[in-house]
Amino acid sequence: MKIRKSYLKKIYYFILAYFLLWILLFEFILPVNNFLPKPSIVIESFPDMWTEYNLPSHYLSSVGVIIISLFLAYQLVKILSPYLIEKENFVSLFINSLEWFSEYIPGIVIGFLLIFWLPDSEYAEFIFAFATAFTSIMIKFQNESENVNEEYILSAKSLGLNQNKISRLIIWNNVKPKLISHLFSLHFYIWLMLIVFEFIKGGLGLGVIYRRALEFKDLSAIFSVFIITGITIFLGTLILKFIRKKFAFWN
Amino acid sequence: MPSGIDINSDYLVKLESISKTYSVEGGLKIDVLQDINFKIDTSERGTITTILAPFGSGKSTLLKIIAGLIEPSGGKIFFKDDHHKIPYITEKPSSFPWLNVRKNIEVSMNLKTSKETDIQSLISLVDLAGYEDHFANNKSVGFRFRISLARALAVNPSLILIDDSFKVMKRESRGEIFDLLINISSRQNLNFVLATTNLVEAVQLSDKIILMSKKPGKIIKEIHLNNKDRTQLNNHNSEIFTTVKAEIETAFEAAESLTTINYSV
Repeated sequence: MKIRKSYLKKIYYFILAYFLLWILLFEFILPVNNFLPKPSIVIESFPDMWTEYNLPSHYLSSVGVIIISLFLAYQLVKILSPYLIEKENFVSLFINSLEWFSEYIPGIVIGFLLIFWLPDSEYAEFIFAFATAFTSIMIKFQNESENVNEEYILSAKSLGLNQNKISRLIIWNNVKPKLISHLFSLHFYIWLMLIVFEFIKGGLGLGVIYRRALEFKDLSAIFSVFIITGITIFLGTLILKFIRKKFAFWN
Repeated sequence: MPSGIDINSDYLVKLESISKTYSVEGGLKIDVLQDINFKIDTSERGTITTILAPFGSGKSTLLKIIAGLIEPSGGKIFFKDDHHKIPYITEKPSSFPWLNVRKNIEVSMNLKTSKETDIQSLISLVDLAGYEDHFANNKSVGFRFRISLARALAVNPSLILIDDSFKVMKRESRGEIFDLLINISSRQNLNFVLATTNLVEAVQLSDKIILMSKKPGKIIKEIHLNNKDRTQLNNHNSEIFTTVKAEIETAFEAAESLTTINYSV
């Protein structure tokens, strides 16, 4: 625990050092440049983010899509878990094919197709984020379900638990901590994909602000959204870590 | 499963010519168990039977066959009761770490018919009163074994199988668990079948020791211990203990399986 605390402390100092360096360099030494914006301009431009870029709706759209898609994907995998464990059924064979595809085709390519099919749909971002999250969680679950402690299964079988109970009570719970840990990296990956998707498609989302800010060559807006994105992902990871600690604390 | 029920029989469980063969790559077949015959009579209710055998002799396989978790390649098993749920306590802790003590026990209980007092009495029986809401996660092996034992008792069995679970326990904890098992078996009139590689463990706990050789696993001898000699058997310097130990050593020497039996006290 001590090691962990000191590790976090190091990260905070590291960020603080970068922050101070940015203020020092770009506020006082190089106030006019094309590399990073002047700190005072970033602070001044924050209110403009509300009015000119409509930050609240774009922000809520992206955050909503991420939260809902991750939550629904996780719940759906939980419901389907008994079928995912079976190796010979259609669902499992379908997942194997998805896993194979995902090794060769970047997920964003599916996003391009989705933009083509549903150019004006408000739900395209959600469908894309949900499909990405669901595929990833499903593959992770299926792979991890092969490594469930044999002792739990043997013991449950000898106590007369049926296959459905074994799947839901033992296999699911055994995999749960690894699945939630997987959400840490998946959460970051979905943010990345979603921003690119929104950037290309337009409509709502932080990706749209990045695009507009680039069109306007508004460095301070890009930098502001960059900070907002980073803080949101950081907070999201903290929430997931809390969930892991509270609801999947076992090894 | 090649097993049967015989309510009028004079045994609780009877194994007849049980064998197990595994096929490995290249079509090679490995005989793990060969012609295993033994029974626990109804007159032996409330006793502990230990299968003492070296590593790799198929003890775990044999227990899994009795529990109905794997099929034998040959032979039959007979039970006296038609309700023959036989809980199998594994070598590594198997209490579910995501559940607390109470919920772990409830898993194996029929909640429609069981009462709160049943759960509480099981918790008290395994000396876990006061720990009902504690989770199994990060608890000692002894604590987790007690949960497994309570969970096994919850299905109201006539026989519980324990697969070398004491190996990883601390010495003090092991002593307490031995006393607990002896008490439960005699008070609840319940039978335990244990598998171990430890001679001292076998002598301290058992009413009957079944010696098995390895490659393939075969029964080489049955030794019946008198419960009246329990105090003497617990004393490693006593004449009875030395005699039993010598008898076991001789049997293993004859079967050339001596090397991996643990004789440490």
